[in-house]
Amino acid sequence: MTALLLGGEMPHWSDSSPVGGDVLREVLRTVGGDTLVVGPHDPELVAAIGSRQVTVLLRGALDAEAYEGLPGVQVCCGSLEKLASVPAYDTVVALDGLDRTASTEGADLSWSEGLDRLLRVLRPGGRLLLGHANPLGLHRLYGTAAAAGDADWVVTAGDTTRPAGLFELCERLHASGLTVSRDYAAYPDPVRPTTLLSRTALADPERHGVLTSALRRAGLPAGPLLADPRPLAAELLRHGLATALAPSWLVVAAFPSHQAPPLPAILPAGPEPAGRCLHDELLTAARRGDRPAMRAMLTAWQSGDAAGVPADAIVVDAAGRLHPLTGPAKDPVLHRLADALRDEGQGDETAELLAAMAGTEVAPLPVAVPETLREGSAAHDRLAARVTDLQSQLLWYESRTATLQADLARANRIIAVLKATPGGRAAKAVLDGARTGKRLARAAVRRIKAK
Amino acid sequence: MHHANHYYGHSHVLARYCGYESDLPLLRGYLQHGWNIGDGMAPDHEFTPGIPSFVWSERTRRRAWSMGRRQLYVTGSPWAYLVAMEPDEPQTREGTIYYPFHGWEGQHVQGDHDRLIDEIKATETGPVTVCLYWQEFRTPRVRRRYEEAGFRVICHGYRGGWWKDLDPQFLARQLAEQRRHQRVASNRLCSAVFYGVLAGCEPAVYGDPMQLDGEKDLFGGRGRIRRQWADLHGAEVDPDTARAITVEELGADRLLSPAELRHLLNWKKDA
Repeated sequence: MTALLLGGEMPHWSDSSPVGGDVLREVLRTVGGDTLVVGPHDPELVAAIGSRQVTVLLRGALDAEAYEGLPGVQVCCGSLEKLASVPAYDTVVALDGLDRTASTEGADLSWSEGLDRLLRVLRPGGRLLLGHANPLGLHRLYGTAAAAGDADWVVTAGDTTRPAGLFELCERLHASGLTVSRDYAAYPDPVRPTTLLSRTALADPERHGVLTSALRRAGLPAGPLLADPRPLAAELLRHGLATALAPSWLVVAAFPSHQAPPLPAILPAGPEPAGRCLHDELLTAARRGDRPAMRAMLTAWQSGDAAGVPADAIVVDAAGRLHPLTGPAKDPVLHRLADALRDEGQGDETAELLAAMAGTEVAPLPVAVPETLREGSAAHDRLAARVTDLQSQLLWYESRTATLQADLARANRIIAVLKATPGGRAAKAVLDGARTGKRLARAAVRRIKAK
Repeated sequence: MHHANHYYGHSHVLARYCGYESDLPLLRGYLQHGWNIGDGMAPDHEFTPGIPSFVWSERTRRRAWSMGRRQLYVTGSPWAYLVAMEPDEPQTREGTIYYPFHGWEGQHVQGDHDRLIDEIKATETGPVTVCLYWQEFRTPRVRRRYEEAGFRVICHGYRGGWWKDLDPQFLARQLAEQRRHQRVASNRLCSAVFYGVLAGCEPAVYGDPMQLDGEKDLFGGRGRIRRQWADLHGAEVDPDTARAITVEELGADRLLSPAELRHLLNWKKDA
């Protein structure tokens, strides 16, 4: 397969880390008709597209090879501005957004101009699947300093046409005549999201437990992090910030007369029992010092069918019934909870103590080294405090040993003095005589037995 | 710092612009010395870490950045500084100066000079000056073919190499020569064509593009040049479009003040 060169292509270039992952594959399974994929997408995503008339537009010529062998896929290389403005597609897929569609050889299109290029190639009734990275996403707020990479020949900061939020993004699409059927906040990474939460779902208090669980289980963004963002899950929901601070957004929008049913409100789709997330309920009880409540929840969890399911994958309903959202985990769930209690600033309960509270037993495991800076520095502080404690304990044992040694020496001296007195000597003679008598008696017995 | 900095007297032009009369100060960095479609430097250019590169245009800076180069500064081309320093006097322009594509030292061109001569004759209406690379100029066989065709054959000089036989006046001679012509042309889009446009000539790119022995099409090669700069190809080219592209490629809109240039090139004012 030969890539079609549109102009503005970069012969030496390859976009590292294309957008990908299972949840996006699920989204693309719904795509049909003539489809245009714009920007770097994992070939696995392109392979998941239901349609077999797929065109992929890439800026880096080196990336074309990755699509070789995919049936029905035509690769074009070039910058977005070179795309012919002909309404030839039923679906346009740009899950990576527009940031990686410009090349060093082409003109810099503003975000809005880029969107117009995408809309111009859509047929009436056509559908657009568009990603949009959030520069204020948790992955950025919790990210460490990083030098500009080879892809950052220009930085698009200051583009006022770029929507500053999911609401603005939807408004912009609406103004262009599209109807938004789904608007998702994507976590935990803009390039490889694992969870998509629609604004409809995020506004539903019934789904609080399911959403908290989804945010907690979404995993960590790529790269070194200042802190683990997962403990914020419940608070993000309570403060209505899960959309504003999402690493990226994903919008499904269509021109009028599009017929396909909307995608699920939460992806990956699954059961959505009403209630609270068990993990957070346990944390709240621990923070309040409500040991009886903790004990009751731990016991109910560990004595039931969901004993192997992590607490962050269980929803507790109003009646206290547990609804597992996944199957059992490979990791020991009580150790994971103990780590979370410690990392989220609540207590020093070990997994063994939690097990005792639940009426079971577990063996201790070696402490895992945290990967994030804040948790790493907390682990360091804990160790430093422990070393100080151990030093104090060591000093106490040293002084105690010194006292005991002095006592022993004094006792030995008293014994020596006592041995030198007449009474002492007499006592020694009696003892020695008794020993001699014992020896003679044993020898006599041996002789008798020998006969 | 690098011997290629002094090719064609480039560093001398910048030194003159910065106010140095005679001695050439040591230039800390690498100068782009010809138009190209890669990172601005020759493919075999060696880089010492931490030494800056000075490229002609913003486009080249972006491309070089994407190729992993850092410490890049857009200074504009020495030619653009020279043209700015040497105002164009009113003079009669006549005919065409044609640059047949050349190889560099150690390279050999394959192609049909006779066919190229026929194409030039069929296209040009005025007198033709053919400017050969010094290697070809010194090869009587090649030179005679163009002379016998009725063309005036010249050579701008030796570009210099390894700090020896440097020719500070190379570009000045080229500018004076180009300003005597109405048109500038070549069989490949190259520095000389862009130079000619900035010197006020109407450009044209036509004729057998010829080929170097074992030539590799790096960064998309000739095919990419013809597609990306299609507006500059053909026997007749729109002069306004050509000028706009040339200003961008030679960085003529990006010239620095002498003080800023001295600072970047690490030239002390009273050196």
